[in-house]
Amino acid sequence: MIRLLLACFGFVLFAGLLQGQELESRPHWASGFYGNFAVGYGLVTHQPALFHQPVGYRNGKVWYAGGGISFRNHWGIRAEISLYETRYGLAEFEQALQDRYPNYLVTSTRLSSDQDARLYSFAAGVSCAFLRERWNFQPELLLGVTKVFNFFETVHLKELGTHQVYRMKFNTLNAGYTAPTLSVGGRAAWYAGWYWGLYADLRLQALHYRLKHHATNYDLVQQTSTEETVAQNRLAVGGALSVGIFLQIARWEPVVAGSGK
Amino acid sequence: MFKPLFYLLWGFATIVVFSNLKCEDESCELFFLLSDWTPAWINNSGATPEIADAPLPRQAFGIRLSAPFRDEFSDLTFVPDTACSLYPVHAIQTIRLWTLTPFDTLPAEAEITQRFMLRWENDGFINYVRMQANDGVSFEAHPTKSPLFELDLLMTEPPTTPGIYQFRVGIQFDSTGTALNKDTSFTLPPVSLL
Repeated sequence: MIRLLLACFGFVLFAGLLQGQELESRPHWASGFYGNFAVGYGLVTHQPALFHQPVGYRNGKVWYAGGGISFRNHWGIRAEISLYETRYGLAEFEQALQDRYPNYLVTSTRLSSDQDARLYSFAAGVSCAFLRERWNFQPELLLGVTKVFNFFETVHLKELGTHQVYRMKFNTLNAGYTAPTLSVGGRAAWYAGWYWGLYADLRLQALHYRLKHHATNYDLVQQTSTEETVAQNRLAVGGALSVGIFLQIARWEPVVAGSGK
Repeated sequence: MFKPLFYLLWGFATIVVFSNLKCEDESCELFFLLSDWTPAWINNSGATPEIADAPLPRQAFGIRLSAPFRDEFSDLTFVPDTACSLYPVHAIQTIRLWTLTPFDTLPAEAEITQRFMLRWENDGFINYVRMQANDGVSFEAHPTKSPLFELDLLMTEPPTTPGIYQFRVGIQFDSTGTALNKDTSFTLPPVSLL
């Protein structure tokens, strides 16, 4: 996936270089509305954990659709929705329990659906454009919300050599919640035509988790249980690289001599 | 003038009538009888109980009782895919165990049912049921593709010393005297526990 994205990004650069200064007479700035669509790959580097293992999300594909308006002073307003196709780290979670209880065999009932692991985000913010020939470099700062579906699972810990089995049930106390999200990044857009172009986008994202689990540990032999609530408030930090296409309904501004733009 | 309208209404009425005609659904429930029990030793040292030969570790020792599913006429060698639920004609009411050899401080012929637990698994969930609380436990609505009905009895309170032990099992159904689902009591061969 990453190789495909890099290939797309390389194509954008290559195509831009091939075009050269063919449209030198083109005015240097277009203000107006634009819409964009992109696909990319997201990396999550730091996220909530139970038993020191992430219970959040693995790396996965990200889809973006958005739009905005660029003003004549090169500032702009953007809004965007995204879908992060990810999966729960159930295997890692089982491994963490296995490491914690080496004399037991750990099996999961795999209750959490990977479909529920998808993250839906909406974000809006400001951007600023820096122009150079056919290129438009656009840093941006977006604030938004992400719909998060929490992880829940039941695992069995079977002691080796005996009948002892513990059933550990992790119930989420906030199955679905809306988490505040911050996105800082930028894009390199290349005008392939007067009103459309290709772009590559790189961003860092921070998502605030409010993770709350109710853990029940049931001893099948003794028929007794212990309970505890695990609450975590922390950030998940990640990044995403994407490539896409944009369409613009623009008014091209004439070159202003000595403006440098 | 009215002819096309008449045909239209007629067609509409036909559709309404036929769409409301339903054939009666065939039941997907399957009722079974149990008899001809076969006992085997199980070793529960690993992830799941496995049939094993003696000697066996007493900390992981158990007894598996297997019986073929039967309907009124013959063994059910396979459970049809259309079966959604399996119901015993007569639910198992109690399962009891006795020791035929001295067992810790207990003499021979003493009941040791409380030293065992019944293990069953449903949709990946493992359950242990105390045997003395087994009254009325019905093994219903757990579809299985296995041709055998299996009960795993785990000895969760093993004897304190290794040795040769022998057990007797009694199964009582909620209806006695039935030809195939008759109450069963059988003696298991001696087993060496480490």
